[in-house]
Amino acid sequence: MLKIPRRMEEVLLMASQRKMREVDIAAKLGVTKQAVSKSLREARARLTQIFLTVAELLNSDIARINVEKGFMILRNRQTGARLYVIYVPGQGPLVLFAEKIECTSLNKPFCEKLVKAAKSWGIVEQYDNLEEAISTIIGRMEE
Amino acid sequence: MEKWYPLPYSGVPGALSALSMVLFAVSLPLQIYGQNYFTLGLVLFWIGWLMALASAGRNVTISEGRVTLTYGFPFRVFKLVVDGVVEMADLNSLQRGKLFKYFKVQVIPYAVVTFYPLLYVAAKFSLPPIYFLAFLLIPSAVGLSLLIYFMLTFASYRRFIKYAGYTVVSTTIIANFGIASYYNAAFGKPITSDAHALILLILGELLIFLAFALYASLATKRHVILLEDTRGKHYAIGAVDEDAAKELTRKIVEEVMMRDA
Repeated sequence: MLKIPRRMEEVLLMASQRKMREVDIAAKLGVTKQAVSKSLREARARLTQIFLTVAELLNSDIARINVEKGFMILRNRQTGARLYVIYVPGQGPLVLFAEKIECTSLNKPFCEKLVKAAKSWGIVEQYDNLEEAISTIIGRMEE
Repeated sequence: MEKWYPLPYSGVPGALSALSMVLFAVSLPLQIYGQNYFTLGLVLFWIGWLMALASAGRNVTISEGRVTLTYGFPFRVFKLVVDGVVEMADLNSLQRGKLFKYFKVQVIPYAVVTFYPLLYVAAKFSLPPIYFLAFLLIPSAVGLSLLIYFMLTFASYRRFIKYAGYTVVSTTIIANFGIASYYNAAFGKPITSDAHALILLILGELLIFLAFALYASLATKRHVILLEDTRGKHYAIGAVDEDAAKELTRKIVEEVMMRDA
C-alpha cells in the first residue's frame, strides 16, 4: 500500500504544518525525543519511497520533491506533461494531471480532497474558491 | 570534467565567492589610480583570486546517506556535508524556479558590483575619466549579468539570453557604421583601406560573439539542483546538462532521501 503508518503521518504533519519542534511533539505524544526523531526520519524516507513508486508508475522524472510539504512535481518522459502529486493524509498519493481544473460537480470531490490535503501540509491557508486554491497550490509548488 | 559540481552560494564558500567579486571590482580601478593605490589594488586583486579559487566547486559525492560538497582549487579547502535532505528541486525544470528565493544574500555583492560606477561617482563627486570607464564597466557588466541570472526565473532567463543575443548582434552592426564613420572623419580615409585596423576590429567583434555564445551555452545548458536540509539550509549543485541533472536527482532520492525507509 502507498501509505505511511498513521502515527508516523501524525508526527510528520505536526513537524511540517504546525512547525512544532521535536521536543514539543515528544511532549504532546508522551514519547521520547529520540523516538520522534526516528519516526520523522522514517516517515520522510517512506514518503520519498511512495513518491518514487508513483514516479515510476507514471514513467516520469522528478522535477521537485518535498517531503516536508508532502508534494512532488513530475515530468512525463514521453509526453513531457507536468504532473502534480500530493500526499493525502490517511489515504495516499493523489495525482493532478493538469495545471487547470474545473471543479464542477464531477470533479468537486477530487478538488476538495486535493485542497484539503494541501491545507493539512501548510501549502495553502484559507481559500474561498476551489479553482483559485488549486491554482495557488500549483503556483507554490512551481516556485 | 565532472558531471556535477557544488555551486558556492551557501556557507563559507558562498561568503568567500561573494567577497571575491567585490574585491575584483574594487581592485581594478585602484590599479590605475596612482602608485600607492596600485599596490593596494594588486594585493586586493590577488586576495580576490585566492578567495575565488578557495570557493570554486570541486566535487560532489553521495555516500552513506549524505551528500558531500567539496570546494577549492587546486586542492580541497572546504567540505560541506548535507544530510537529512527534505527537499530537492531541479530549478531549471520549474516554471517559476529562481535562485533569488533561496540565496538572497548572494545578490548583495552582485548589486554592489553592478552599481560600482555610481558609487565611484558618488564618492568622488565627479564623472570618471574616459580611459577609466572600461575598468568600472567590466565588473559592472559581470555583476549585472549575475544579478539577472539570480533574479529571473530560469524560463525567463532563457528568453532573456535569446533577446540579449539579438541585441549584441544588432548593436555590433550599428557600432560598425559608427566606427567606420569616426575613422573616416579622424584619418580622412575609409577604414577598409587600413587592413591592420580592420583585422583588429573584426577580431574584437569575433571575441565578443564567441564570449557571448560560450556564456549563453553554459548558462542555459547547465541545470541547478537545489537541496534543503532539515535545518532549512539551502545548497546548490550544478549539473552539466539535463541528463546529468536527472541522474543526480535520482541518485539523491534513492541513496539519501530514502535511506531510512
